[in-house]
Amino acid sequence: MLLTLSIFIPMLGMVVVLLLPKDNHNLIRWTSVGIAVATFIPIVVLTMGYTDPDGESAADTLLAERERVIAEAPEAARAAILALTAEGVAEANDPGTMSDLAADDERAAHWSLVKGDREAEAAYHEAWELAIAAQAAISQNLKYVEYGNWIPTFNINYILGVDGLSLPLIFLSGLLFILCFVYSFNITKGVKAYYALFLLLETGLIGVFAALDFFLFYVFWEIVLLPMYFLIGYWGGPNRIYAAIKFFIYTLVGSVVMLVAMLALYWQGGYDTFNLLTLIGMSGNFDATFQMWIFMALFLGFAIKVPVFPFHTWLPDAHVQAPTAVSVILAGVLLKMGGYGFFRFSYTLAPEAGTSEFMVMFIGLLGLINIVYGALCAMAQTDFKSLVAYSSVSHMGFVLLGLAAFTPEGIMGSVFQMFSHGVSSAMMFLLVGVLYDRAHHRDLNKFGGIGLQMPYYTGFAIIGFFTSLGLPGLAGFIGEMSVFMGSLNAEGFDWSGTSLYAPLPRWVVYAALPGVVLTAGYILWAVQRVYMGEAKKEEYKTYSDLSGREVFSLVPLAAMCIVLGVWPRVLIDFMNPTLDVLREFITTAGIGG
Amino acid sequence: MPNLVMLALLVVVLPLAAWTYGFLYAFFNRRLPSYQDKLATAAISGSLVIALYMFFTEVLFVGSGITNPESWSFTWIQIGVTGHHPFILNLDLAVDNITVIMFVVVTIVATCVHWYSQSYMEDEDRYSRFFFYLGLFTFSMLACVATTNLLMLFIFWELVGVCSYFLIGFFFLKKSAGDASKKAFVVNRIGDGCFMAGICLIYSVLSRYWPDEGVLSFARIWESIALLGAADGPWVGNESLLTAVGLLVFMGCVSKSAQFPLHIWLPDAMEGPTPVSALIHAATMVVAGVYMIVRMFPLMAGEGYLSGNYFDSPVLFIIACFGAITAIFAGTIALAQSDLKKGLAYSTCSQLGYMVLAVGVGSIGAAMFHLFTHAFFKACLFLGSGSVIHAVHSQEMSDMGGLKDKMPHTRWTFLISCLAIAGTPLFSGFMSKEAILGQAAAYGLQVGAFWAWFPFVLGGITAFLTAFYMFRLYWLTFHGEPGDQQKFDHAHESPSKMIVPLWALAALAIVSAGIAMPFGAGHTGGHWFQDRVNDQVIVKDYLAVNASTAESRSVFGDQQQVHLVHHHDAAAIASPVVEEFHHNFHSVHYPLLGGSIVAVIFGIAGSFFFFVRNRNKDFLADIPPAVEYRRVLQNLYYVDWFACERVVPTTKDVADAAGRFDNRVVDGIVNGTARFFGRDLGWAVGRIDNIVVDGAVNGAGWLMMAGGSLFRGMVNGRIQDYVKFTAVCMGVLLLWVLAAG
Repeated sequence: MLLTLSIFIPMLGMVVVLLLPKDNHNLIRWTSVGIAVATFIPIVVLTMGYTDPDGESAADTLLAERERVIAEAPEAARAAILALTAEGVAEANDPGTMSDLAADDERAAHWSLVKGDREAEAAYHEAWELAIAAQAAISQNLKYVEYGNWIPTFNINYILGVDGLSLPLIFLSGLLFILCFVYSFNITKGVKAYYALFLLLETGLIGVFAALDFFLFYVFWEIVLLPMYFLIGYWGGPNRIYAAIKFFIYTLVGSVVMLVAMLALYWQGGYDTFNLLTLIGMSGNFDATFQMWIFMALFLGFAIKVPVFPFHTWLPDAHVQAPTAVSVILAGVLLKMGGYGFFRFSYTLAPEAGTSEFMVMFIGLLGLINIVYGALCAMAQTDFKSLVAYSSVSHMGFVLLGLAAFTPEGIMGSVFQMFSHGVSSAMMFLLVGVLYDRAHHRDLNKFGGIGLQMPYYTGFAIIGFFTSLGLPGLAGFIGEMSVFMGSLNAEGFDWSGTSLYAPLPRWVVYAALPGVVLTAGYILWAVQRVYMGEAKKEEYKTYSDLSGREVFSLVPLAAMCIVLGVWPRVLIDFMNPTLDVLREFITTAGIGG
Repeated sequence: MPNLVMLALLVVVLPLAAWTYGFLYAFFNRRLPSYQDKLATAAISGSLVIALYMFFTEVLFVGSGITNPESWSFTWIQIGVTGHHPFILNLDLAVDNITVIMFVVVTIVATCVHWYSQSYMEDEDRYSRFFFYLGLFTFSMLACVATTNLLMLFIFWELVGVCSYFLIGFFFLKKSAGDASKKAFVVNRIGDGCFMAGICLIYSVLSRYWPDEGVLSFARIWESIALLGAADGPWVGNESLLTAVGLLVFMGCVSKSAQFPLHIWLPDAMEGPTPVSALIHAATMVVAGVYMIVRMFPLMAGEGYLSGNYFDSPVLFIIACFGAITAIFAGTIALAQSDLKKGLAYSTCSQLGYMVLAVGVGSIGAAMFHLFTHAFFKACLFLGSGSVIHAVHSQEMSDMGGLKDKMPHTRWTFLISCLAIAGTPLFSGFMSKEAILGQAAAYGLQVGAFWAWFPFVLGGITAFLTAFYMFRLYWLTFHGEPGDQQKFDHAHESPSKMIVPLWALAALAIVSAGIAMPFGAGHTGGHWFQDRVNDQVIVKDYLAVNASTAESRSVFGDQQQVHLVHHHDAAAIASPVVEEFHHNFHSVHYPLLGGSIVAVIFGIAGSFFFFVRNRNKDFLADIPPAVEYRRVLQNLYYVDWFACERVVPTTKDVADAAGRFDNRVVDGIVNGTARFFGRDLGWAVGRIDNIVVDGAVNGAGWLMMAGGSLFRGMVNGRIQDYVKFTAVCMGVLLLWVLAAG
């Protein structure tokens, strides 16, 4: 219930905001902040309660749902459903397809009991679906699962649930929206529409991370697209139309290909289900070629979001044109949809493809390119925001590198990097925004001497930029270190009993090492050009230091940078069980089912 | 938690507490407290008292010092689940002799610098911020030497680096300060990246052998080397990796301890305030690299570590060469420096080369000894130079001269330290330098090949050069005629807050030699200090394991309970090679003693002859062939030129090229594709639609009009076309996937 609340409070809030008088800007602003806080409360409750060992896992919930389905099924079919789905549970590792089940003599006898009776058939299918879903490896750690029928004709369900992978991202979204709403108080153009769209965006984002039904996920995914398009296209910089359309089209291309993969999965073997957990439970049955196609199709969709070279060029355009708050959401959470998708969909639905020699090298090399190439491009930028955007490209390379390694440290580093980048890049965009609001330009070469005039602001800037640089003691280091540990460990790791026979070679990681030096180079160079030296323009001497509104948006992020750097266990212990199960599942899925 | 560990934690935490207070105060008040200086000084003084207490009660007069280090450990990070190859990073702490010695070095110099800075920095803007940075630095530095986990060491190692960055760039209004701080950080990152990779590889190898454990503790790393002889040791099958790891880890030292060719950041770092140069860039942070390779000595020595025969290790020889080259390289550059602080910086570089050389020839005791003595006299030299700079407001030696009577305290302390660094008998530098050269010579004898004499020969020449260039600085600053009469007239002796630390350090420049003298209870001959150090790494149990059985993987039930044994016992167990080495060492000992005294006398006398008798500031200008060489020296052997004029611009060019490539090619393809599908293909489809379908119905005249308007529509509103395109795409891919599946 809490998950549903946190998803739909913003949507309801949008309706409320739309009903408010158009010219009362402050009312709209404060209402929106109130809604964002109201959304964050259930998220905090969820986060606090997640580690409770007595919490009901997905397996429990889904099996209870199965009981309910059986109890509600027509009397005549009940025995058959029980028998069949019990077998389905027993043989979850090799359940065969629906038709296979029907073909077997004994089963055919059961099947004939339900066949023809639409209600019985549907109950039969749903019970089977739930039985398999409860068996899926990752369902142990999923909690707060909500289940309901949405479009029964196509077996589309409303399934929500969170685990150590998605909950931190939901938490981050909830927090960032509050900060963005407060930061956006300086928006005066179309305030009502701005906040309404922003609230819709929040619904989409939290929904994406919570949805466990592929169709539902896709709907939320598309919901995210729309408000983003308008937010960039209407409130953006001079070249906003171009950037917005580019963002829209690019993401749409990716999501259409994803849709194809989704439909292919639906029809594959006649499973007729969008239930992600059921599909994961059945993924052992997908043959290698099919997995490869699925993986590539999903990969394109997610890679564009991450963004992975060479699909990254929409990002700098979108960032440079977008208003500050939109950039914050874009870098902080939106990019994580891609990384999250890899973990939740690509590797679990096509584990054999993901662990194949080709794919390990492919992802590893893309990670390498992202890191080094992204850093080089960042170094070449003269626009402050563009530099931060390219630094995102570089940092997301670590996510790919850790993913390709498949070691515990690699996977953790990858997810940790997503989270810490969400914090640090959000902070950097806010920092750039603060400066832009005063100077009305972002040209790195025209800045200088800001540190003297705005020392308090510069203190925050140091925290933000050094987190991005990967300084120990701040959040960025943990992810980077973990990825390096994990990816250099891939060759030496004990892979016995797994399907990964060709781990990521070490040279890929060695080749990524210059990225660390380049990162230091472009960040320190930018810091020097902006904050050090004498004030380059007379007007810089008149700038006021941070206002209360700006401090409010920056403080939680700075605090998270420090806390996660000094005591990373807050996050690591939270994610450990989930990621361990995920890793075990992916690396052993190819062998023996 | 054991008693000593408690004390050590206190030493580390005190400066952190002062810093944290300042941080929180600044957060709430938007400025640092005006009493941050008092706070930081009080904290470091407290640390000093505790460190000295530990030193006097546990190390100096007590038997062999700490023979059974107390330890403490807690898990900072665990990634993954126990039983599934988790990565565990412990905050290990073990208090042994080296830790206490490093504590003493850091706290003494830091306390002196804190007191000194209260006067030296008095008039500067952002005075409190200076002490804020200093506090973070002392904490990080103390933590760096307190922890006995390699990755933890790396974490604090990076933190001292960033403090160094802030302090070099303290006068950030000057562009040169900004440049220097950036250069320091980026150059250090090169070494740190390699160091990190080395740590990762160690982890990768050891975690296979000891799963479910924090394998990056020093104890485990040493033990893995001890198991080299065993049939199933962790490095078995990874021997080539071991060499690579040794070199990668050493790269960390190359950048941090300013070894050639990554030394280029250190002279530039003199842009920072002078007390910072004394603390960070002379006495403590730059020796962290040496400290680290001393700790990781078994890793560098590899197979030879087991037998005590370090002389075959290629890694160690490479280290020795790096050290020797740096020593003479920086020593020669120091000859031609006109800036007082830069001259001292190159001399630091050169002395660091000595320390690294000592590790390379297998004598970590001598390396630590030189580190210990050098910290005091070099800090004194820097603070003395600060006192002079404070008086004449210039760093150029051409503005100085004749200050000996105006600044007597500064002059005498500077002279004492010069004598110490030059290696004059009875001063500390003599003892430590002689120990290094003796070991280097013994190394040459032991190996026998001509190349093995390389470290000794270069080190020996540098000994002469050191005396020469150090006294050049001294003569040019304090003797002769004033370079700038106006500045000379304004010059005055510094206040007592600056003088007292100077005398304290100058006293230590003499007394710290006494530590090597045979006195104190339970000393063992003349190698008291070295033994204290060697104790820590020569571990009897490892050797015993190796000798008897290779099966017992957990000799140390608790990984921290490492039992250490006396150097000579270890030598007794080890092969005759060690004894031979000792014999060699003693045979070269006395000739060398005479030789180095002669070198010092010639060095000092030579510089007296040039700079006082002949008052010739450009001594190399007299001899025609030397002029060319002097130009090379003034250009710093073109290493900086190569780095700053070639490597950096090339990198920027590559970056610009990447940026252009991204903008034109990658993005160009995207836009081109979009244009093709969105406009051209849409136009074509539209044409077909119009001509074929509509044409049949409506006729050509109307068709042309409609086609034209549609065409315009396509160009202006591309979004519909894209939707069309995606629909087409979707269909095609759908069929494709289904066919494949």
